[in-house]
Order: sequence, then C-alpha cells, then structure tokens
Amino acid sequence: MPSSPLAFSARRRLLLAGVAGALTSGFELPFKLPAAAATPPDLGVYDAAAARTLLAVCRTLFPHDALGDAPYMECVRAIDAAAADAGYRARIDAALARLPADFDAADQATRERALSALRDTPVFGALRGAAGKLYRNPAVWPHFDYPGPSLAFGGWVDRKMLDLDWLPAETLQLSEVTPA
Amino acid sequence: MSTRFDLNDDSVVVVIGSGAGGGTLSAALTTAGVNVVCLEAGGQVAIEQDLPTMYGRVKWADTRLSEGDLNPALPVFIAKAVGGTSIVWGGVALRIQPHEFAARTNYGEVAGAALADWPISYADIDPWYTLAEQRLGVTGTHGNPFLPDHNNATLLKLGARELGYEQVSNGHMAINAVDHDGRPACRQFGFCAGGCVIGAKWSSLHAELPKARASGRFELRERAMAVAIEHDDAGRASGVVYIDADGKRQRQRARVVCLAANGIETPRLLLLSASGRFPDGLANGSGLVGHHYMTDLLGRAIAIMPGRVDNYRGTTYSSLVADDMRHDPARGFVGGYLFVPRGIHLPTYVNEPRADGWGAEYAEVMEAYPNMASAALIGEDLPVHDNRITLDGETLDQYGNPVPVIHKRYHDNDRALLAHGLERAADIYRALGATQVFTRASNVAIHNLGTCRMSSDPADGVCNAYGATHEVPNLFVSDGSQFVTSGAAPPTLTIAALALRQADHIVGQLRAGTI
Repeated sequence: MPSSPLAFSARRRLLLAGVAGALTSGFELPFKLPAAAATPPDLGVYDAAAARTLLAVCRTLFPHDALGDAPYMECVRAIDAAAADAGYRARIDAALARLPADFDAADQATRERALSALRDTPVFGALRGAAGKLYRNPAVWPHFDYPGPSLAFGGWVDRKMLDLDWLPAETLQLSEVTPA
Repeated sequence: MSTRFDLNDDSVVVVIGSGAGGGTLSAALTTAGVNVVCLEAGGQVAIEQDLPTMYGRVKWADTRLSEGDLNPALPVFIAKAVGGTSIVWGGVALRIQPHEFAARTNYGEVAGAALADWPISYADIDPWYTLAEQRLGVTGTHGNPFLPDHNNATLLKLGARELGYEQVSNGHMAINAVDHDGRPACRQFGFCAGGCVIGAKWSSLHAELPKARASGRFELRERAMAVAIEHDDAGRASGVVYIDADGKRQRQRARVVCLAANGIETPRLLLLSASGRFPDGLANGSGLVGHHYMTDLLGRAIAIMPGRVDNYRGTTYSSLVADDMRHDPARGFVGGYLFVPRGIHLPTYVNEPRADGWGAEYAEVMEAYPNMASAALIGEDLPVHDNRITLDGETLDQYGNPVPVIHKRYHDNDRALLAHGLERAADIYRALGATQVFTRASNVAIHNLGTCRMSSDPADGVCNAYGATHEVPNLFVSDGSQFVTSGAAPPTLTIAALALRQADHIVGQLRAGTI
C-alpha cells in the first residue's frame, strides 16, 4: 500500500504512462485538422457533408461556444466508428435524413427545433450519448475548471478542500459544530 | 496464496460470490480453520481514477430484462469482478435501526406491502455490528476519527442546519481516516465510486480476500460462473456446477454451500437449481424465492450554487444528515431516509441534472459545473410480494441459462417518501442561495435485497435467522437477499455483520457435526 510520497511517484509514472497510451491510441488523429476545421476529415463511413451535419448535431446538443470543433469531431469519429455496424448506421442515416438540408448553417435555436423533432426516436438517445462523451475528453476539462484524476498529485488531502468564501460568515459559523 | 482444492473434495465450504457478503464470510471461515472454495463469476480488475472506464470494466453486463419502473436498458448496476460490488460501493456504513428490525410491528399493516419483522432483534445483531464496525474501521465509531470536511459535504451540512436538522455529522464511513488493518488513510482522491486505488475504502477486494488468502485455506476461482447447486438423496446440498474461465463445465463437491451472488443472481441460481425433489427451485418450498425484491429508494439533488464548490474534491459520500431516518407517519409515509453528499466528476455530470438534457439551456447547466453541489437520498423501500426476480421463458444468457427478469414497481409509500425527501433536499440548497436545483429518483438499482428473506416460519421466507435455508440445512444465503426489510441505511454494513454472524454459526455447526 503506498503511504509514502515515493510510492506515490511510482504510481504517478504508471498513471502518466496510461494517459500517454490513451492519447496515442484514442485521441491522436491520423491527419492534421485545419485550424478552422472547415473541412471534416475523411472518416470510415461518412463523407464530408454527413460529417459536417453530425458535427453540427453534436454542437447543437451540447453547445459551448468557447470550445473549438476538435473535441466535437472526436464525438463524430465515435459515431463514425459505431456506424460500421449496419443497423446503427441505418438509424443514424434515417435521423440525418429528417434534418433540413441547411441544418449545419442554421442558428442554434433553429437547429434545436429541428432536433426536437427527433427527440422521441431511439436514435436521439444514441446521438445524445455520443455527443455527451465530449465531457470525457481531457482536452475540454480546463474549460470547465475540472482537473481530472487526483492520483498524480496524491489526492486532495493536503490541499484546499474547504473554501466556501462566498457563504455569509454567520452561515459558515454553523460548520464549527461538525462531528455529532 | 496458491492453495488448491480438488473438485471431488467434499469437505470444503463453497462460497458463491466474492463481494461484501461472500468475501467477508470467506475471510471469517478460513481464519477460523475452515477450507473454502470461492467461485467468482468475474475476473480481477485494475482500478483507475476514470469513472466511465471503471463502470465499463466492472459492470455486470450479462443480459437482464426489466419490467416495471426500473430503466429497461440498465435496471441494476452491480459488479462482476473479484471483490464484487464492494469495489464500487460508496462506503456509507450505517446500521439498520432498532425499530426497523421490527418493521411490521412498528409500522403496522401497510396495504400492498409484505412487511414482516426480522427473525432477529437488534439486540441479537448489535454485537455483530460492533465487530463489523471495528473490522471495517468505520469512522466515528469505536474511537475511529471522522473524515475531514470538504465543500460539497459542508454545504449539505450547513443547509441542513439552516433548516433545523440536528443529526448532522461527518458520517460513518468504511473509509480510513487513519491507517487501519494494514490499509492506508484516505488521500481524498474523490473517485470512491469507481473503486479505491489504494484500498483506503473497505472492500472485499482490499480487506477480506487478502485475509482469506493469507489463511492458506482459501482458493478463489475467478471467472467461474455458478449455474446450479446440486443436492444428494437426503436433500442436502452436495456441490456446485459452474462454467470455468475456459468455458468448461465443472462440478465442485461441497459440505456446505453459501450463496452470496447479490440479490438477483442468488434467487436466480436457486430457481435454476430446480430438481425432481425441488420442482419450484432449490429451497423454494415457500414459493418466495425471488419475491420481495427491494432496491432501497435512491434519489439525487443537483444544485447550482452562487459560488464555487468544486465538488470533485474529496471523499464522494462522506457526511450524513440523519434526522429523517426516523419512522414518523405524520410525514405521510412509513420508514425513513437519509442524505449524504455525492461528489460528481465532469465526465459523468452530463447525465446528472437531467438524464435527457441537451441544448443551449442545458449547456449552461454544464458550464456551471464548478458551482455544482450534490446530495444523494437513500430511503427505505417496502417489500412487495410481486416485486421479484423470475426466469425468462425465452432469452438465454451466454452460459445457456434463462436470463433473470426484474419486476419492480414503486409502492405508493415509496413515491411519498421520495417526494418528501427530494423536496427537503431542494430546500437544503435553496437555504444557501441555490439558483437552480434538479431533483429526481434513480431508476437504476444499486442495492438488491430481500429476494430470499429470513423468517421464523418456513412458510413466510426462504432462510432462518442465520441464513440457513429452511429446506436445505447446509445451504446458506449470505448476502442482502436475506434482508426482511431494507431499512433506511445502505446495506453493506449489515451484510458484513450478518456474514460474520453466519460464519460463527457455521463454524459451530461444523464442529458439532450438525451440518
């Protein structure tokens, strides 16, 4: 059981090796995304036009303007990979066919109205699930001030865990009566 | 470490399942000198601080069907791994309360519920709770210090105090505040629900299986899926048939069989073990195997606060608001509930405020992640006769056996309790200025209880007060399936206490030659 800082640094190396492995196997693209990501990359199943629509679907589901297209493209790639299954692809294609032709050029409110029409279909859950993987991508964590695993620095025990300085002082005083 | 027993060795105790019940029982039996073969359906897993990865790695993914109020796609989340669901439990280690052991007496008749008193009293189990708390190192008991405060826990406690709650504490957690039993103190990693990397949280994996192995009397067979319990001509359990890691059918003979496969697989295995002598399932003369399925009532509150919380920091569930654990029918329901904080990490936060949220409005809720506080409600779930586990008539699992069907519908009492508790949870955060609060009941069960309940009268339950089945004296139920009622507390401490008590009973019976 690691209880010394030394033991932790061994674990840290392990962890970093794991993260590096994940980056090379899971996140590295076999091509360079253009800075503006105007052209979706070649995918296994979908052509550029379909990929653009899927990108717009993912951005519509969880729109964070400060995030570039790259993390959303990871979600598109996951959909593309799953679409190797013919049944899955047929459901996605049917959903895309129900979107207006100018879907990816429309504004957020218009796109939300278009997606609402799909809300009661099973494929909507699949699209939401794929787009929701956005938040698993360490590349977006800084935007949400989420630091991720704490193993590398030995956990929060020696760091600040209690800093509710926005609470009124008289409320905070209540916390002095903790263990009961 | 490498102890092996012969398949034809009929002197061993076979324990099915290596989680909180099976692991604790195995450790207690082996250290008392009894030879144990433990069959675990899952394999060894590596623990990482990555919740989505961990859920995928440990989850019991075999097909299950669901009918009723639970999520049809994932009705139940339990683990299939060495160490069982104790790997991913939260660590909230509370006793079932004295009045809850006599629920039928104290609550009276509740229409539509099959309430009963336990065949054991609180006085019977009290010393075993003490042993379990000492063994698990439960904080705030027997001189063990409490875990430290962090923002998410403190907000729950402060909000509760603003509303006048009094039984507010840092909670009783089977997570080490200081080194205990060869396991280190908690580092406040904040990933309790994915498994503890250092074993500061008690689990069978970290605390019990090592004791069993060290005894030299223990063999754990991984990826060994029990598919039938056999009996001899005298109607005594004689062995367990299982599919081994290579897909081969094996038979381990046994002197005693202990079933600790969690509240769904335990009754399923009895039903699958029907024979000419036991046509409705082994030990199912009462017809109650699989019935009275309880999940504990689970709810969640997610609050957006006026300032930062950063609730990923520190132990996920430590601290407790216990006032509402009392039985007070004036609230409009019987039984009680509790609140604990619940840390949430960004990768899983997307499904928390709403399971189906999306669009610009929901993205705003996601953006508020740093200001998010959260609590869980756990409450007493009433036993209902038709809430049960059955075998499906058509679908087979990968081992060729009928898959289980989970029938679960909330009783009106359950709905009233959840509505009351979730409104109180919202009030707690509103008292501190929350700008938005999302509350909902969970439709994924994590506790599976009552499906082979204890009873004094063999017509009213499956096993006796020690977990021995009424009809097969050397066949024991050793997990939460024994529970008569759920109580408001999470089940693990009670499962561990019952396992220690059962081990003591089995050792005595073996010495006396009565089983």
